[in-house]
Amino acid sequence: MQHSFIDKYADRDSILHRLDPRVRICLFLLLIMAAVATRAADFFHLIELTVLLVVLAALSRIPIGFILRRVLVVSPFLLMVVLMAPFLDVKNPVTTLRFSAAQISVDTRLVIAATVFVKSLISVVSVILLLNTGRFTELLKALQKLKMPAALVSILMFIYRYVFIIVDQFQRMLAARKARTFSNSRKQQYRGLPQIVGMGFIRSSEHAERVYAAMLARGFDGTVRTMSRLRIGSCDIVFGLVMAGVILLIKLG
Amino acid sequence: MHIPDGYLGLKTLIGTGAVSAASMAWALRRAKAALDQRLIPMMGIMAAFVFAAQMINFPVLGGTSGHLVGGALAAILMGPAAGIIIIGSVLIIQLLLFADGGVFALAANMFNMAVIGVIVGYGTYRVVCRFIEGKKGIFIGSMMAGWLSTVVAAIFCGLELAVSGAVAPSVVIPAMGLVHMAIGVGEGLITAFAVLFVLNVRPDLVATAKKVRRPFTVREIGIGTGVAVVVAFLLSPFASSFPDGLERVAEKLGFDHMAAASALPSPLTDYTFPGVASPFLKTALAGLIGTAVVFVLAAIIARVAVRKTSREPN
Repeated sequence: MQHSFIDKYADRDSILHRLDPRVRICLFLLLIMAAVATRAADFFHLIELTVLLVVLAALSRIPIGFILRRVLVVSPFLLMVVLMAPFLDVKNPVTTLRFSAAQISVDTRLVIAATVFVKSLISVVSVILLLNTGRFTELLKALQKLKMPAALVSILMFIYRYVFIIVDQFQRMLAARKARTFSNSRKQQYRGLPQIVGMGFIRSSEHAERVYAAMLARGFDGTVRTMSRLRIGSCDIVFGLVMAGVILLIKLG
Repeated sequence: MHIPDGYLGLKTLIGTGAVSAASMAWALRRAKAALDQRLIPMMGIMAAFVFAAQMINFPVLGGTSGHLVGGALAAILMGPAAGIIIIGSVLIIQLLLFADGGVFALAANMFNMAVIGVIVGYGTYRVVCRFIEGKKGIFIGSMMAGWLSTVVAAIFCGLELAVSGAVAPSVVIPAMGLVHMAIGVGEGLITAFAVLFVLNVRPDLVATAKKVRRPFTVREIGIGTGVAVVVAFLLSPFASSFPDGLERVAEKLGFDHMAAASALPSPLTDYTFPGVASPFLKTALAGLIGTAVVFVLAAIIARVAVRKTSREPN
């Protein structure tokens, strides 16, 4: 499976990379929450939050092209609101946007489309930054420390551990079937698909049994224990508070 | 079907989030009780399997392609609790790895796919299996489960978007519903044939096959039909005339005026039989005729479907 985009920039060095993952998670969560909770009239808060996000992206030293490519992958969903905007039935045809002392009136449908689009964009870019400024496993450990149920976090770790193996398995089966398909007809090309899914299920079940047996043989008792070197330092707290302060200022201004 | 952040309002997020969290908590407890120590490796690897299976795409209506969601598949092969855990985990992984779906919108996405999709799929499968026994029942049940779980999940997704005010309800609900009725066909077929495959090769791995209860007898079906007829004839005239849930939402949000007259000619418009004076008989007869038509249609479809699968080589 082509998975080089995952954790590709996780080992780089930047302010965000050195931040404790818990602080990073809280920071980006706060940013997304601030964006999502913005009313239409405060559209310019969203612009300011976007500027902050751009600053954070620059601080992260992750190539802008990479970020844009990841955004492109999910862009159809982001554009949904923009495409459906002309069909909206709104109560007030015009909305007044406030910017410090100034005010401008804009077509409400445009405001809704722009607001939702920017909010979803901020969310997507935040998640991309969050993921690429550290190891995935550290992110999961941070989630556990932030009180996500331990069983669920362990399951997520296992998915991360085995998904590449299983996807490769599927790709081999699909390639093998393609190699045996001598027909151009659409029906023939998709004929063996359910059987491949079924076979994948059987293989994964047997694999899971073997993995479980191996874990038992190493003393597994039901709880997954991993080493965690997460430590919050004063730098993390300072950075976190500064960013939170900026976000608060934006929301109040 | 992954809704991004920024679309849904707070009330929708809280409502769907509460149900999703409660369902996940229930599912984890239930699965832990059944699997004990094997919970984490088993659920983790099988979730990885569903994640991989979701990457397989199939043609829909010749132009676009659809993806397997796998809620019904997971529930039928491993039980509803496992289904909820697996689809929920896959959604979280998709969010974290691909930024697919919003962070706060995860509440609604989980509700649509991990809870509604899985429960509707599993429920459909169990109901069909009670009416048709053996492999036929499991096959037909899996097919309908796959289709229904996709469609119902998509409709809920459309409703959530419609209530949000960000997209026009008259566009998004039909769009989501119709597109996913087409995608659901692929999901139903893949689910059905995949379950059949596993049933033939490793029947011990199909957790829900052992729990299938014996099918209904003719007596039970007769009693059921009798009750339906009595309710339709005697009680339907007393049904409440208040607007139903959708009409109420439509009135509140102001899109009820978009309701157009039916595109097809309907003999029993608004549940009334034409040409009868008595208000009681108007509704009662309509109810009776409706029940009879549904019964006959269902019987015909069941006959055709059962005969078709009995010609399957396996």
